[in-house]
Amino acid sequence: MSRFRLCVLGARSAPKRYCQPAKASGISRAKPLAGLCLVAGWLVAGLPVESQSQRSIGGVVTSSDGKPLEGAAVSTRAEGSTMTTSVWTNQQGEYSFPPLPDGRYRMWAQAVRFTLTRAEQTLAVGKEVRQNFTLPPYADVWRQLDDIEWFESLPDDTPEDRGMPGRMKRVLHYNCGTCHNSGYLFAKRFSAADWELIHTHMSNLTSRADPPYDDEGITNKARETEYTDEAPGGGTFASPMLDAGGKPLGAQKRLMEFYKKDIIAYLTRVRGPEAYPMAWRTLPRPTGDAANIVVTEYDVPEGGTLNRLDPKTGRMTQFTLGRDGGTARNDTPAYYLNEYRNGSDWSRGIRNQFQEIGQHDLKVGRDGYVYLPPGIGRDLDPQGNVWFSGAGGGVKFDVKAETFTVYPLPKGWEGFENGKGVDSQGRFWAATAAGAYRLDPRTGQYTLFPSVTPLGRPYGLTVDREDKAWFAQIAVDKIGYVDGRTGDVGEVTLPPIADEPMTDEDRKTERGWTWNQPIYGKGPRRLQADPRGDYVWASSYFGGLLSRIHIRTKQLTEYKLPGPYRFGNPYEPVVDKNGIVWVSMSNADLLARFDPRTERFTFYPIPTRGHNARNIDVDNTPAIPEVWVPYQAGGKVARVQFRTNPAR
Amino acid sequence: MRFPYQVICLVLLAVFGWLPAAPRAQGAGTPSTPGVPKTDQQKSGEAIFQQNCTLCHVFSGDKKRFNVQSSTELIGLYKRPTVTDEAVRTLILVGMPGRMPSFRYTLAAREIDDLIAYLKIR
Ligand code: HEC
Ligand code: HEC
Repeated sequence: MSRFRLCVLGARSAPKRYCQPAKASGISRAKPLAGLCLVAGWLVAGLPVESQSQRSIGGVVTSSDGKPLEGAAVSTRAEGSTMTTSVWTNQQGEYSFPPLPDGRYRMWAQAVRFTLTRAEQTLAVGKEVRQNFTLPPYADVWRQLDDIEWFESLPDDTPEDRGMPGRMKRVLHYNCGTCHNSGYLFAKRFSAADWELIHTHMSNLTSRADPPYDDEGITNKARETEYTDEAPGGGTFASPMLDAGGKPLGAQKRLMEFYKKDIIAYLTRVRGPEAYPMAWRTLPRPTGDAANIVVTEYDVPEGGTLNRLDPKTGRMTQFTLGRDGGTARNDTPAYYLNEYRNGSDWSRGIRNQFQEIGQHDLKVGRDGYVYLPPGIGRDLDPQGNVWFSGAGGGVKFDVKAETFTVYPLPKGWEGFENGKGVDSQGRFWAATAAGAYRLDPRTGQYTLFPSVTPLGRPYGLTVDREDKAWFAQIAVDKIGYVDGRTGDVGEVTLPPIADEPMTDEDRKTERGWTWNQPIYGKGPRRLQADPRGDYVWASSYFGGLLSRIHIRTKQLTEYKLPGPYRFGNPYEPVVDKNGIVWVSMSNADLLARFDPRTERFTFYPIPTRGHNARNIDVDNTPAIPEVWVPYQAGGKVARVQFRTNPAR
Repeated sequence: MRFPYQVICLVLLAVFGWLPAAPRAQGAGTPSTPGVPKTDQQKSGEAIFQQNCTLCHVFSGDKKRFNVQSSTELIGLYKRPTVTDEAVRTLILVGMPGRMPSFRYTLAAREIDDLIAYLKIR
């Protein structure tokens, strides 16, 4: 039965296209603008599993020469729906969608080096509709590349590499891939003068001091300081770098200025007016288990507040905190839809996430819903309520009562950094510049546990099953911890990168904060404790590796992502009920799986180009756990289902 | 915040994150709201704009502080009678030394057509 309804062109909130940090806004800024589908009364479409219909779509994908194409992505979206379902072809070029609700479907098939090809189908009668695709070759391969395919294709041995193979790729990876995907800028070509102009702007943006704080008053003012010679880890730089006016450059700008000449020369050489003889090296297409998955992507509404997704229906419900402290519920949130901006057509290239509707975090609830909180950092308490931060404090969303409670940080206290967690006693933990805070919700009181190494830029935070809070200190390659039962604090140090060639000067450059790092640095960013096990897993964003730490012995084991995947910016590791570690990749359109028993990585495809995943979660309720992936660019969150059991 | 993940805001986000919603009457009608694309070409143009022009033509506090942005968000550009497709195309291709890069090596002719279609309604 056909249950979709047409989109209604209607009111939508005006997108705020730039940041106005300290001003309140909300979904209530209604503006009569067309172009947006208020998906009012929208019901069910495109469900992979819980569909009532048993009808499906299947077929074969071949290249123009008639050969079956393995590992091609086939996607479909029902008219009026905000969900997209994708599957991949097998060795015979065959694909098959799981049962889909009746409706009119737009379909498209694509693979790197081939032209995206579209079709339309209606599901109303019969069991399976057949739709074959023939994909012609695609000439401008560079337009379709994933970030790590760019890294694979860029040369290793230019004069700027200074005899250290791959040095410049890494310099770019460490300096230009945090604020936006690196593939976003590699797709551009400019003259030397224009690359210099861009570099100047980037260097300026990087100089935003992050996160020096003043430990007396613990105030946010310090982070607005553009010039400072404060060094990550404490103290000041031995040799200050001064700008033309004699003011000391901050840690991040120092790195940008140190590499400036090489970056401009290299980018002009490989992405300048003269076409560089680039050999486009693309990743192998997914095969076997990696191709045997279903990815369902749900569009995320506008609004930047808490959204609750019902995976069974795809319905989003939006909750907003009112000025009076009350909670408003909206069952028909507004969406901003422009399919050229959502990454579904890979030949449109990689977008920057600044202007996108993005979802940084996600948490699978215990009540069958998936929660999409605003901001960065989230956890569930023992009752299944969702915690995050905002409005100047820790925030609890009571999932039954559907209300927010804000636990304000005392006035004058340094704000939260990114990581948040809840311990077995229901106490809320958050990273902060000085270490970690713990909130006791019964009293509303916060306690600060200072880190051993100061100014390490505490980033992600997790609480293990023995109530130790762990936080990654991204700027100093350390993982700090606080024993919540004894109050003891300590830290584990990650050794510098030793297996990648670099010059002595590279080795001597000082650390940055979060935007960039020297190329010997690792940059532990997010971490998660195994809720059933004895290890904390951290991923090093710049270094491209996973670190495993025993929660009692503190023993450290490291696993580097193989080959080109090293450039994928592993983001958050999450351990499922089978002990498998799932890792989001923010600079590769892949989801990584690491099996600690075999010490092997497998990479699963994500059907959106430049999706830039962040804080993921696993749903352990199905027999084969499912992975949920929020996209920071492309305005979607995805559910990844495995048709073969990867844990078998 | 509506687009909360602008990286320059990341720090502030971690601190304040999310704020109570303004009452409905407040904030409605900021003068500088870009037009919303309707046709396919305008939508394509919007995407190209977001990929190439926002560094300088979409404002933020940080971009202002660090002198990154130009003086115009290019909203209502074509309301000026003197603005012609040819002048805009030439500017995009040639740029302005030291201020705006030339996009002649980056954008294909068709992409500039789409961009212009979008700038007309932005
Ligand atoms: C501190 C964060 C930050 C870092 C680090 C950074 N960028 Fe950017 N970059 C930005 C922002 C912000 C934009 C504008 C995007 C927007 O606002 O939509 C941008 C845009 C760009 C653009 C698009 C400009 C255009 O005209 O198309 C290029 C190219 C670029 N960056 C190159 C680089 C390079 C090269 C590096 C490393 C040397 C780098 N970026 C490092 C923040 C950063
Ligand atoms: C690195 C910064 C930068 C980037 C990137 C950039 N511009 Fe500009 N643009 C400027 C500056 C600076 C001006 C001059 C306006 C001023 O006085 O500030 C300008 C002016 C313009 C003007 C003339 C505006 C008027 O009112 O006469 C147009 C049109 C324009 N840009 C289009 C674009 C388009 C389209 C793109 C993307 C393809 C783009 N620009 C990317 C910096 C930039």
